[in-house]
Amino acid sequence: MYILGIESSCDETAAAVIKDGREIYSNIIASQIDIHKVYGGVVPEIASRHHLDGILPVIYESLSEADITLADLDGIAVTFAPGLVGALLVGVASAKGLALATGLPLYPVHHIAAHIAASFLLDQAPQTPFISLVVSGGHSHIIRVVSMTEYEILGSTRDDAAGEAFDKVARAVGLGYPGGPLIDQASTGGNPRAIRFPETDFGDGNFDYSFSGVKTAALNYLNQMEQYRSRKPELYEKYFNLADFCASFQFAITHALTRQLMEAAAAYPSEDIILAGGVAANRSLRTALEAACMETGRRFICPPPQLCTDNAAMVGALGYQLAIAGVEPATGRLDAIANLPIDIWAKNLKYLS
Amino acid sequence: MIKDSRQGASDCFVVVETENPATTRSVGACFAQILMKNDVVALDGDLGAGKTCFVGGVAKALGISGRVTSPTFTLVTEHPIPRSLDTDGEVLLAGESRRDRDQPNALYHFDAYRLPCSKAFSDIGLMEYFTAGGVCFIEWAERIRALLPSRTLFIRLERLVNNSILEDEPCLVDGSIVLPSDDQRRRLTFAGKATRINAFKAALERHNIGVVQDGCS
Repeated sequence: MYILGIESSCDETAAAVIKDGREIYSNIIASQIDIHKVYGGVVPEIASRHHLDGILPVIYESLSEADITLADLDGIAVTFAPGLVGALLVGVASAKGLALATGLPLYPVHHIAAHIAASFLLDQAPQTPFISLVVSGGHSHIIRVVSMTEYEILGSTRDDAAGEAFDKVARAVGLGYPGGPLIDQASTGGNPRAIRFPETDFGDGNFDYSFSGVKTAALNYLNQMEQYRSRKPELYEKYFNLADFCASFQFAITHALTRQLMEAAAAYPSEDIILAGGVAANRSLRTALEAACMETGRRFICPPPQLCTDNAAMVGALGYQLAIAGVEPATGRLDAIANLPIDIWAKNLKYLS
Repeated sequence: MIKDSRQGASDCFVVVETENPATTRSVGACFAQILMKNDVVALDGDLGAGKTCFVGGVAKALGISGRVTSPTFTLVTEHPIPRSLDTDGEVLLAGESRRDRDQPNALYHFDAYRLPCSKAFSDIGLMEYFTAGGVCFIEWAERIRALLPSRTLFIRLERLVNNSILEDEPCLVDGSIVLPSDDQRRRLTFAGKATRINAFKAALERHNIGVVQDGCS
């Protein structure tokens, strides 16, 4: 079964052809990251315009690289929620047009579920049920995946997403955008224990995240260092080292992510742990989770970085899962939705048809 | 600037202080009681000052069940305000209610943090939300000051203790710098037309929340 996946929820315009939900025939991405660097993040209107320019060439290229035609396809899967409405609309409208013209079934994909489905593209696919940690610029979720059409949110962020904390602190320390990879890079050789950040713990039985406290502590520290630099340069020399700061900040975020995830997963001791989303490309997070999983004797699965950041292969992979689960294809009424929790999406799949 | 002679149009302010995020949310809940359709609320304050926390308190009081998180990434987050019941128990769609005609039907939560200038805000079409029948809360509103309508209500959040001006050297434990938790106390200053500020003061009084300072220009 060949599925064409289409993704345009944020700054990547992407299309991919996936065979049987496992095999990547093509995976084309037109990234706008250089365009949005100027703004320190995605600007929706600019993103929409670039999606519009990029979507059809990207779809053509995905078909030609896979060496198949529209007639060979068995379905189309498109990300319709959550994300920037203007950006999502470009993918949704294109997918609806294609589905209408070809008569192919159209599967409405949830962006976070697609990130989770990326792990099905690995040689060792996970077995449901499993526990996933989805971390990106806009999301930090611990989700128990009962099946690819049934999800349980065990914890999520109460304030800032992990990627957002990286972006804001990277901007404050003058590293630029995107914050995660730049802080990761700048932390090389730094001592992760040089600075200890306050930890937020909501207490027993609650696996929510809060990155606001770590972010604020980091910014307060940077302000203080800035004042030292102008008034007491000897103290600035003594207490500020960029690599140490980045390594310690990264450690604080990684530690919080790992701790909450492992605590949430403790009730399901035999289930695999899946790491997904853009921040999953972060080396220290991968290392920490790998170690935590090994310690508890669990299987740890994390797609390679190119399948962690936004792409359409994961959309095609999820489209296949929806198709074999018997989800009714969406109709022409399908519309982009900015805000839609994954569990609500799954429960309402039948209403999208 | 031409001053409107009507009392309701002159600019007033009120200041309250909060102990922690929970009390900041309670003040937000109080503020929710005076909101009207198409209100625009400008929120300013440093990173970590509690802007998102305050909006969370407002949202909960408006009956929004979803979590209010930072809109920095998306620039705007839409939170529909749940449908209300009329006397017959008939569920009315938001915006259809006969009794609640002046009630907002959504909370639109903006963040101008990443925008380079006010032009970017209007280019994206975000100003359309100002008259869409909801209430608009805009974090980092000073970045788009020129676009704010005259009816805008202003809220400034500040730390009571400025952590950044520490003359002391950092605290060292076993060779690590230990960063303190943020001092949680905040000062919130509300400014706007007298009628609105007076309504808010009455709401604060009903909830036994003390006013530190108030006045009119």
